[in-house]
Parts: sequence; C-alpha cells; structure tokens
Amino acid sequence: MKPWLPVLGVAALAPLAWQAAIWIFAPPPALLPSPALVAGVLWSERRELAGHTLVTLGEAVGGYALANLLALGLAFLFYRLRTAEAVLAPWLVVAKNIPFPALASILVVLLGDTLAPKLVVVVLVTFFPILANVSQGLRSADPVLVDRLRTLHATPGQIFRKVAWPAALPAYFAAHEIAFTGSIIAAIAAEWLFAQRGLGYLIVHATTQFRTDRLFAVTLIASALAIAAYGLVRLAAARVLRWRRL
Amino acid sequence: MISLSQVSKHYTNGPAAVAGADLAVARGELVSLLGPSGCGKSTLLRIAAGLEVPDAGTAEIDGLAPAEACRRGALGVAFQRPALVPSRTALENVALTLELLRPAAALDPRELLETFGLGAFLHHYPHQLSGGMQQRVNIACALVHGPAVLLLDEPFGALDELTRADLTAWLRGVLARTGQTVLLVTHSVEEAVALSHRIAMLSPRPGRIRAVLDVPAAARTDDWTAPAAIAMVAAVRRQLREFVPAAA
Repeated sequence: MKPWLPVLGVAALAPLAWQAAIWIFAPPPALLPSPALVAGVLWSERRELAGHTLVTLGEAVGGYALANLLALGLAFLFYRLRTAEAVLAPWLVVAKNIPFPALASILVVLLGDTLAPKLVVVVLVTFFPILANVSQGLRSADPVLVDRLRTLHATPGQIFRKVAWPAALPAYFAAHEIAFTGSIIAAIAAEWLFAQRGLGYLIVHATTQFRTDRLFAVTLIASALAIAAYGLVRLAAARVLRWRRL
Repeated sequence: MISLSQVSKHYTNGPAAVAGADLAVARGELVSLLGPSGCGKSTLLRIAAGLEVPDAGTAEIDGLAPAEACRRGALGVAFQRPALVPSRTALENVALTLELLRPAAALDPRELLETFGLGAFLHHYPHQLSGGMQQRVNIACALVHGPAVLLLDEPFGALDELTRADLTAWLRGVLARTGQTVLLVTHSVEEAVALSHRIAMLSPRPGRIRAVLDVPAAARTDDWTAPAAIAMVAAVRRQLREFVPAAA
C-alpha cells in the first residue's frame, strides 16, 4: 500500500465525520461551523487569507533558515572544539528556557511590530532540536571509520565531509521533522502575541469578532502548512537518505 | 618492512598496554601477533598504523614514521569491524581510499572487487552485504592503492567459523598474489598457522613479545586438518600456555 493512502483517507473522512457530528448534535454554527461554511470562508476570503498566509510563511521560513545557520554553525564548533560545548552548553540551556513571550515582548518594545521579534521567536523554538540532533549525529560517526580515514592521511575537514556529516544526516532530517513544522506554529504564536498581519493575527481577530468559521479556516490553513512542511522534509529525506531504504 | 623497537604504551588510568616490544617483519613476510585478550596486540598494530603514539620506542614502516608512510600510501589497514561508509556502495567505499590518497598508480576498484568475487555487488550498500562480503570490501579498501605493507586487526574475528575458514583461504590466495608485508593480529591459532610465516606471541598485559615461532611451509595450508598444520597448532598452543596461566 502506498504510504500516502492512509493520509488521504483520513483527509477525506475527517470532513464527513465533522459533518456527521453537526447532523447528530446540531450545535449552533457560532460554536461549530459546518465544513461547507468553512469552505465558503476559504473561497470567499481567499485573497485576504493568502496574503496573511504568505506573511506567516515568510516569518516561519526566514526564522527557520536563521535557526539552521545558527544551529549548524554551533554543532560544527562543538564537533571541532569540545571546550566550546562545555562553555556554551549551560548558557544555551538558559536561552532555551527563556519564556519566549517575555523575550518577544521586550523585542517589540525595542524594535516595534517588525519582522525581528517574530524571527527571534521562531529561532528560539526551532534552534534547539536542530543543534541537539546534529551534535549527537556528528558524535555518532563510527570511530573505526574515522581511524580508517586517519590511516589514509585524511584531513579533519575530509573526515568531517566523508564520515561525520553523512553520519549526522539522519538525525538532521529527524530534527527537521519536528522543527520545520514547529516553525509555522512558532510564527503563528509570535503573531498571536503582537502583529497586524499573519495567521496569528487573524486568529486573534476572528476570536474577538466571534468568527468561528474564520477561526476554523485559519486552523485548516495552518494545519495544511504544517503537513506540507512535514511532507517536504520526508520527501527530501527519502531522496538524500535513499540508501537506507534499499 | 615493519619495525617495532622497544615499543611501550601506557594508557591513562590503566596498566601499561605493551612494554618494550621488539618485532621486525621482513619484506614479503606475514607475521601474526597472538596472545590473550587485552595483551596489547591491537595497541601494537595501532602504533604501527600511526593511530597511537608510543610512550617509548619507535615504529617504522619501510624506514618511515607511520604517519609519513600513511601519507605516501605505503600502508593499508583493515580493522576487525568493516570500516565502510554506510551511505556509499561497495564500489564507492573502495574508491574512497583513492579519493583521499590520490596515488600515482592504483588498482581499479571495480576489477579488484570482481577479483574478490563481488562483481554482482558493486552497487550494494554495506547493510545489503553479508558479514563476509563486508569484510572482503574492507580488505579491498586496504589493498586498492597497492600499499607495500598491510596491517590486519582481527579481520575475520566477528565472523562464524566456516566463513572465517573460507575467508582465511581466500586471503592466503590474495596475499600470495600481492606479496605484501603483513602484520596480522588474530585470536585464532588455526588462522595464524594457515597464513603466517612466523607467529609472535605476547604475554598477558603489559604485552611483551615472549616467543616467535617459524611456521613450516607444510603447515601453511587451507586444510586445517593436515598433520603439519595440526602439529603446528599444538606447538603454538603449548608455547602460549607457558606464559598464559589457565583460567580457574
């Protein structure tokens, strides 16, 4: 059976179950709008929704790219210099545990409602899984293989490229599965705190206006983005790590 | 040739691994290192490969320091566990040696693997090969650049008895063709007798070379039940027993 068949099956059955619940329990539309009503919002407000979606997507991808740069740079530093890890690790744990709404609020005061605070939130949420997985992956390189390369007079850079980095790739993709999807939720959370644009802002706006149909529409878009991000990661992993499935 | 002169090695927080080991392996000769577990056989081999620096004494490969011998591609090393990159095929793993060393002359990886009976598995990844096949690829990786000296650290140690006997016979054939100088670390007396010109025996830790026995040509056979082989195996065991006390 194709792996995507059950996913499609659930996607097809969910609206049916949703509609069935409405037929059976007959909740007021303000509490639980019908799939048809939400689909109507998705179509009639498509231009506005698309604009806000692009804003969120930009923040998520931008923040995620920054998180990758930072995490890969630090993972490489820790791989080459164990002292750096010993010195920086406690401070990274501190940074990881800063409540991001507090930090983001400070940044908003300092920088205003700009892109920067949202990027910081996305980086804070997604940076650590990447750093932890890649560091662990680099350390998992087979020591016997490293010895073989040393007897072939390989430079540290060659050992990194030929052994350590390929060893870290499966862990890196595992981190993407968590962190890339998380970047979208993080961007929405940041907008929810302070923004005039984006899906997070729409959620706040729809809640204050009692627009449950719009709230559901935004939730569906956010879910679709997260699923797409996850699918992209799985697709890339399947291509890059093709040898593991043979 | 391989020359170990008064080599000693002491690891931090542990007893000395080897103490004052002397060994010379002549060009084209195969010498096995035999001894109880933890006696420093692998440490000696790692020193010869330039992977460990001795606390005292010297190691030379054809008159060069091991690191320099590595740089010039004069050394091939095969470890007990196949040192293969999991994301590279058998052919790519063998080619990796050439990518790194860029030797002026080398064997063709494809032809080498075909000679080793792996022609149908060139594009298989390590996890798709049996343990015996992986070990053959591992040895091909150590041979492809045509090194003058080969260091083998229990290359068949993790394999079952029958595969091990088959691969020992196979390696004998390979080495008879290439004529390399070989230092072999092994736990198997039968394997040492079947392959070696001489067998050096180490005492328990700290390892000292206590005896070196010549192996008669008649004992170097694939037939481990041949009378000369059986007699040599018994002689080696007797000698080993003299400085390795029986377990309680």
